[in-house]
Amino acid sequence: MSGKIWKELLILLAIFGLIWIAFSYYNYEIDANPFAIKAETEQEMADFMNEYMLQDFETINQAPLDSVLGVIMTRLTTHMDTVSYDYQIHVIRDSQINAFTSLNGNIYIFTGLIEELGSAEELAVILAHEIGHAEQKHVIEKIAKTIGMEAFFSIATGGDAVLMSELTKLGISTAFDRKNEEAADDFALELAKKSKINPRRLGQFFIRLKRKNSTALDDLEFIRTHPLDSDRIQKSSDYKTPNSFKEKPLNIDWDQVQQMLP
Amino acid sequence: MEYHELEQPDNLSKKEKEDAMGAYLMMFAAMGAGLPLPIINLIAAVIYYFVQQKNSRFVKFHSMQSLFSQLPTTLINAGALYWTLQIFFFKDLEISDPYIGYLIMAGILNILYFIFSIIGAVKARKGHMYYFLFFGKLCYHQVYKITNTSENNTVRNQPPM
Repeated sequence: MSGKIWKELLILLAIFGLIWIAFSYYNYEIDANPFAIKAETEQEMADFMNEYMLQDFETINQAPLDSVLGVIMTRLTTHMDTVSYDYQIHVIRDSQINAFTSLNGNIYIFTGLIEELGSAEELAVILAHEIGHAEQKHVIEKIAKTIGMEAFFSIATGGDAVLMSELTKLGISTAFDRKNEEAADDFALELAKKSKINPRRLGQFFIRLKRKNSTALDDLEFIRTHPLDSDRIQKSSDYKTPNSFKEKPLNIDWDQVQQMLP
Repeated sequence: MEYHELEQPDNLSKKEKEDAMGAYLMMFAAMGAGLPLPIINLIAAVIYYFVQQKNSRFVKFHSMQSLFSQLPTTLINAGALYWTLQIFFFKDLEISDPYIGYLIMAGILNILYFIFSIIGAVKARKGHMYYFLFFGKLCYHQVYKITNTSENNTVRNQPPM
C-alpha cells in the first residue's frame, strides 16, 4: 500500500514538474522590443528633435572633420551585421564632455568630448556605444518611458516650440537605465573587436573620466547621462580579446583633428 | 497491513455526509477570505480537521484529504506570491520564462484542485468515498489502518530476569 502511495506522489510531482518545465521553455513569441515604432514616424520625430536641437546648440560643419568621422563610421558600420539607420554624426560646439543618441540614427558629439579623447580609436568605441543605443532602440524606449510616445508625438506635431525644446533637452539629459547602458557597452565592445579596435579603450576612457570627475569638474555631462559604476568599468577594461587580436589603427592624425576644433 | 471496513452510503447519517461535504466546501469560503494571504485557508483546514477528530472515519477521511490536498496548493500559491513580490521589489520587474511557467503551472494546479474539491464535496454528500491521486490513498491509509495501540499502551509488569 505505502509503495503505491509514493508511486502516486511521484506521478503527481512529475506531472506538475513537467507542466512547469514545458511552459518555461514554451516560446511565447513576445515581441522582443515593445517600443518598436514605424520607421516613418521615427524619421518624422527625429526631424522635430533635430530642428529644436539646432536652435539651442551650434553645430560645426567642417569638411575635414566630417571626413574623419566618416572614416570612423565606415570602419564601424562595415563590421556590423545589420545597420538599421543611415547614421548622421553632428558635432556640437560646447565644452560639455558628452555624446548622445537621438532618434533615427542621429548621434551628437560635443567638442568638449573630442578634446578630452586621446585618440581616434577612443572616439570609435564611444561612437560604437552610441550606435548600440540606436540599434537597440533605447532612445524610443526612454522617451516612451518618460513621457509616453503618444504624448511626445502630439506635442511634436502641435509644434509648441518652447515645450518641444525643453523636452528635447530632457531627452538629452536623462539617463538610460543601467540595463540599457550595459547592453550598449556589450554592443560597443563586440563591435570594436570586430572592427579591429581595441575594446579596452572604452574601459580606459571610463577610468579617465571617473578620475577627472573626482577632481570636481562639473562639466562631465557624460557621467551624468551615462552613469558609470565599477561593474561597467571592470567589464569593459577586462574585456577578453583573443591572443591573435591586433589593433588596426585608424588612419587619422588625431592631433590635427583636435586643432580643427574652433 | 489491516484496514477498518469502509462505511457504506446507507449506513451513514445525514449529518456525517454533510460534515464530510463541509470539509471541501469550507476551503472555498476560507480561500476567498484569505486570497492575498494563502495561509488563512490552511489554518481553516487544520481547525476543521481537528474539530472532526471525534467524528466517524468517513468524515475524518474527507477532511484529511481536503487538508492534505490543500497543502501543496497553498505552498505553490505562496511561492507564486513570494516570487512576484521579489520581481516587483528587487528585480526591476524583469519577468523570466521560468516565472511565467510557474504561474501557469500554479493556475492549472488551482483549477484542478477546485474541480476535484467540487467532485469530492458532491460525492461526500452522497456518502461515497472519493480518492484523489496520491492523497486518496495516503488518507485512506492514515485513517483506516488498524493500529493496535490499545494493546501496546497497557503496561505489563514483568518479574526480574
